[in-house]
Amino acid sequence: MLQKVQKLFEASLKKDNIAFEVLEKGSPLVAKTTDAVLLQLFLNLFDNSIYWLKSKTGGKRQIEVVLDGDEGKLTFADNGPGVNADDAPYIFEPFYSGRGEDGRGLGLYIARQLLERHDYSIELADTKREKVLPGANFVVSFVQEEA
Amino acid sequence: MMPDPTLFHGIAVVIDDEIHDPKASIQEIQKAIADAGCHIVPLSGIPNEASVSNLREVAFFVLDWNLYGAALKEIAAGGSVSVPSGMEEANEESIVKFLRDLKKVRFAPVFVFTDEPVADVIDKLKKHSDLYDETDPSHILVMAKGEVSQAGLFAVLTKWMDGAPSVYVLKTWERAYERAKNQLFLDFYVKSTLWPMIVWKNFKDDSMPPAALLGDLIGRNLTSRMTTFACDLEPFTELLEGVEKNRDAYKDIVRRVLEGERFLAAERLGKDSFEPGDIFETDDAYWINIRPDCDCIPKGSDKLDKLDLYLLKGAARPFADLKYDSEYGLIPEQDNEAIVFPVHDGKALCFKFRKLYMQKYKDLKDRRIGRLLPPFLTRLQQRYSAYLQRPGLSRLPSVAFPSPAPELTSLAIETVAAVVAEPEATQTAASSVPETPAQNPPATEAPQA
Repeated sequence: MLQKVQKLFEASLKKDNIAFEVLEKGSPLVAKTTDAVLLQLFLNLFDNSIYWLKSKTGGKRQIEVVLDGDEGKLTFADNGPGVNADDAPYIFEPFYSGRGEDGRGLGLYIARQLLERHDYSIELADTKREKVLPGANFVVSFVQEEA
Repeated sequence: MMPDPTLFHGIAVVIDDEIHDPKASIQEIQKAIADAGCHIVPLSGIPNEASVSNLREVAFFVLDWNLYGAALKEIAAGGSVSVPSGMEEANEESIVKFLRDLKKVRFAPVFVFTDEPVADVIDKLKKHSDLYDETDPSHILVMAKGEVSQAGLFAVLTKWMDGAPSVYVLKTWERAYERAKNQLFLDFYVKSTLWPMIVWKNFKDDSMPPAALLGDLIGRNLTSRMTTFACDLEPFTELLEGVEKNRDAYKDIVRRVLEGERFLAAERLGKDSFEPGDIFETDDAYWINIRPDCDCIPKGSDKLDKLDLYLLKGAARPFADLKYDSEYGLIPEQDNEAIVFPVHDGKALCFKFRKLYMQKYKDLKDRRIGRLLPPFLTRLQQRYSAYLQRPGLSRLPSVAFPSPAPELTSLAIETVAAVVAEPEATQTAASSVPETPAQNPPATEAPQA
């Protein structure tokens, strides 16, 4: 799935000189949901990272995805400017966008809504241990929360 | 106009992400193209930059606007997704880039047949005025796929061409050109498969640059085979009626078109050659090269940069100073000048014959603004030749005429006034132009590059 979505963004990744890498840790990561939900999640994460990486001047531009089957987690990270501390509490709110007129403010909101329907979650990595790259790091947990 | 689908015959490139989906609406369009006898090159995405140059011979293009829909549909496996704005923008960027790259190598009709709202696609194209001019018919047609299927592809194309005379002329001319090109190479091939070597050797034996002259030979022979151009633009005349009403806009269009007829801007000229008609602009003047074309090519160990331009000096003539002979539709000129209009953004340039200047090409090559084309250049050169050979006549004393002397026509006044106003200059000019084509001017009079 991730590879298929990467292919959709291949032209943008190439044009903006962004390296993309996937790291797999432990056993294969299993997510019990529909393809459409995962597709929407990845579309929004790729779109978000590419947008912010474009503003990065100097140095290598990277997106790295870590699939940790043992912990049931996926970390989608980039080395762009990262999420502003003032914006962090609101980025999953509807119509909240740090992109100004370029953004609709729905991408991350939709991603969270879809995941929550399956009792999954998406959060900003807030500890150094969770962070893969210095920019924005989103941690998606595919471990269903106990009711 | 009667539909003539054969004008679109040839190779059609169809770019659609659903090209391999047997149920997609593009299949019906593909079938119509194939049924008309065209050969289809199906592509599921925008070709990469390197391969765009392979599209030189394509008759027309059919392009889908949304080139990610099929992939999303396949990945979503029946579900639906909301497309992020960045993805839409990337899709638009890649299409616009393709259209721009394509225009550089192949100017041909592009039919954007889409399932997206047509007005949205047109709005996106309008942002790029070099591709889609809102006020002028474009070589790009945007239409809903369903509408194309309903009306029939070639009916749509023919109807569209009714409003696009430039495309009609292009397709008609291409047909005549392809025929002439084929005839030319076949004719020479039949004479001898070694024909290029025969003429190449001939040019080399004359110490002439063989590649340039071979190109000239092909060009001349091609033109000779294309003399009858069957093209009828009468059905399009009503297109002008609306445009003519806006006097200023119409004047601007007329000037631009006339300029295209006689003046080739510098960006279309290679720096590795110069020709008669090349016009250069320096801080204080314009200069036109009138050296014969065979002398504008380096021979033997000559270097292009070191070749001399033979230049006439000119200046922009303000419109207020221009006269217009409405009977013949021309600008009256004095015997010692040629006025070319409109060139270089609608200017009228007046070149004086009094003195010929020599300057190395290397000193002016970065100042070239374009080239005056035949027959406008031929006329200027011929007028200059006539000026060089003009005989000196003694004046007719007014006392020889009955009183009062007969009135002169305005055209005659122009000519006579020039001679009367500049008797000394005219004399000087005659003596300053050497028998050999040119001599070095004083340093202060040379073009300052």
